[in-house]
Amino acid sequence: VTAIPNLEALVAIGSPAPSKQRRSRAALGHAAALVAALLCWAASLRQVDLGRMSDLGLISVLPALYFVSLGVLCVGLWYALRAPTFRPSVVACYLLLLLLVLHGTVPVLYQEPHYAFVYKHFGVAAYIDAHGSVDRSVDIYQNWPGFFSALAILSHITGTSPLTWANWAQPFFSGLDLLAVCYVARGLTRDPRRIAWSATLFLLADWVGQNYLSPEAFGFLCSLTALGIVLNELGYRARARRQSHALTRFAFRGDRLLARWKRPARRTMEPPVAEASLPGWLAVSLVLLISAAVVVSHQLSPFFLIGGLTALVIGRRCRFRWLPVAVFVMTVAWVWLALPFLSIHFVLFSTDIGANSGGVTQVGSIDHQWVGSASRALSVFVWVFAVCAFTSQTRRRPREGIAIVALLALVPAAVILVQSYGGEAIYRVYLFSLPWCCCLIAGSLVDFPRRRAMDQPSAGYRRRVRAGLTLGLVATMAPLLLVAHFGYERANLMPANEVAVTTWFESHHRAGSILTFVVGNWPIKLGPNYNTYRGGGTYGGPILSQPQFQGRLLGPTDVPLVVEWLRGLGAPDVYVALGPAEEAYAEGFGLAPPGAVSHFQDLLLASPAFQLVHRDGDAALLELRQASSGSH
Amino acid sequence: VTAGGPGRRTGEALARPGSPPSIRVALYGAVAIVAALAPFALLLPPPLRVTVGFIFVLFGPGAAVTGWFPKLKPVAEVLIATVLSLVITTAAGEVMLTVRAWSPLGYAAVVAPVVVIMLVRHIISLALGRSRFGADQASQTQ
Repeated sequence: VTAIPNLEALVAIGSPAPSKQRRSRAALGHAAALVAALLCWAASLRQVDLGRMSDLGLISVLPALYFVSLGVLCVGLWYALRAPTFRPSVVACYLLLLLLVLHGTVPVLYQEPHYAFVYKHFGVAAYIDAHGSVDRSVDIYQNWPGFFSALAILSHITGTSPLTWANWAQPFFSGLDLLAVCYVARGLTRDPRRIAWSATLFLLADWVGQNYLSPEAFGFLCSLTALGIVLNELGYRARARRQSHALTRFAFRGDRLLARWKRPARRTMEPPVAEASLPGWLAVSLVLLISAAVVVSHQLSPFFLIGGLTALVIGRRCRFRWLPVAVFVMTVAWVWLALPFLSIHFVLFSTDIGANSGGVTQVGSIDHQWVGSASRALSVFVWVFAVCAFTSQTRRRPREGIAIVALLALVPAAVILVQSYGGEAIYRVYLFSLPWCCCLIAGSLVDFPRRRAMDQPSAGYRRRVRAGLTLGLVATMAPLLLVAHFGYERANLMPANEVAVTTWFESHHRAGSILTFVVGNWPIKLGPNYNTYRGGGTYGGPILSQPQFQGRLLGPTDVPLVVEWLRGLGAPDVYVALGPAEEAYAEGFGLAPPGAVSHFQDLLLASPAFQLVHRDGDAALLELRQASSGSH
Repeated sequence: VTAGGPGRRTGEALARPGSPPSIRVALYGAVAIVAALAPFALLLPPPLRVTVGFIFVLFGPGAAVTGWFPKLKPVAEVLIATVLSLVITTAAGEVMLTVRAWSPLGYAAVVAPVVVIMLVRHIISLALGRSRFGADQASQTQ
């Protein structure tokens, strides 16, 4: 080990060190690139016309300047990562700006939060703040209220609705995820270049979009942080089995006493990769506290966390072997409390692996098929690259750490053995395996191709091959990410007037009413009384989800059928919301031919069976007249 | 991903103690001021209330806890401080829901003074050039 610095010193003498002038020129170049990218991005956003968005999403309306900005950042980051003198601050600036360009674009451009389903989270938080309690019979969110209670506290103290800042949750969570990836990578390697590559790859491969204001984003961040704490703090400290007393072992002072007075303890863990920053008892307490927050906040994340902790115990990276058991007990206890609701509304276990791993399959328009293909290609690309990286690294010596990273990347896949999670389990599997896949790939990138003997590829040749490979990697991932990440934005964009219509409805409806739609892509349940009406799928779903209205163009003859179906729902009042986001979703996902939804919305609007009760721009709210007062 | 690779020397540079004391003092001071204002959030004008609310909830409790551990690297410190703040808020919310004593401003009134006291203590420690675990570990290496 001591020979390595000497060897490096010899190499350093032999090779010309970058002069001060050259270094300052490089720093100036990076600064110019960063400023240029920032200006290009800012200027590009002023030219965006969201109304012209096609089924390719935001990328269809983003001007060339945006891509220039992204290109400059990607190339600059690649250059900074391969520079002979590694500068963490330069790489951090590139990563920060790349994060802003990728995840800050939507908050700047959109007036309202995107994704129709995020609005329900506002409703749960508002309900908690208004009632000061939860009702487990209302929905699944009120059975896992942890994150929503934090959201309610934040909303109350700031005096604002999450509606006004929810879009900024995406860059916030993405930034923290990036830090968490750096933190877990730090527990695996001390090489800052590898850590930086892990973070870069994570940023370029995270297309799933689970970092919006949601318990999933919170669960992922907390799980990764907990695993990072275990990797950095609990995996390597020497343990004295015989000498230590239980009390002293769990106390920081005890650790010190052990270190001072006892003879060197026998190492039972992997060799240390970092110095401990926290006493063992405190690190364990933090992991348990964070795990508890995950358990009460999200249904699926605790199982990924348990899998990760188990993998770390198996890989001898966690000396507290009871840790996964403790988290498992907490999870089972919480699921037990929610069991009355779960057993009625959900299938707890689904062993159809094919269906569980299938994802949400929607055909849709050609553009949407491209988007789906891009996301699948990026996932497969990452997984295949990770397998190749694992294979190449297993031939190296020393290779401690490789198996455990591979195990951590594999463990999330166990979820698809028992759950489909509404067809989304495969996306969660990808997300939770991604940090570890990135660590694997980064580990092999930094010294690729490997030098096997003195007469084999020269340093210059290896450097050129590595540069080509890493540039190719970035150049492949960045475009795929853009398509996969922004591709569904036409359907995800929620117009402000649709949000206004829902707000009006929630302050005027009678208890027990039904709010329905043609398609169902609508921001609903955003107020504290969201439990007093039925919306979404709670009454059987929107019009186009009914078998009698599927697979054909709806015309005037279908209006009486729709009216009959709505009256058969047995609600005191039935409302139908109409707006442009419905059309965008139906077209994009192939639920109806172009123009069909807006045509049918016009028919409903003209029907005497409905009364227009509220209008806000393109969005309208119709109320179904009582049977005696209206005709078909 | 293995230990002791080509980045060994540069890795040692990362093993330095956390962020410089002056930066920590400035950050702790800012968070302490915000935390001191948090219980009076209702009285603050809207823009200030939003700023105070976000900084207090997202960073306050976590910064007060991580202040005890000067050996944390800056990345770990920022990450753990933020995650801990969210986790403490979540735990407090869950407890308030369970005991049916929902009071977000009550949470601020209870937690903020503790946060302020802890942060002021960290600032004094940093100003005097010592901190509890840092001093412990320094004496351990002697």
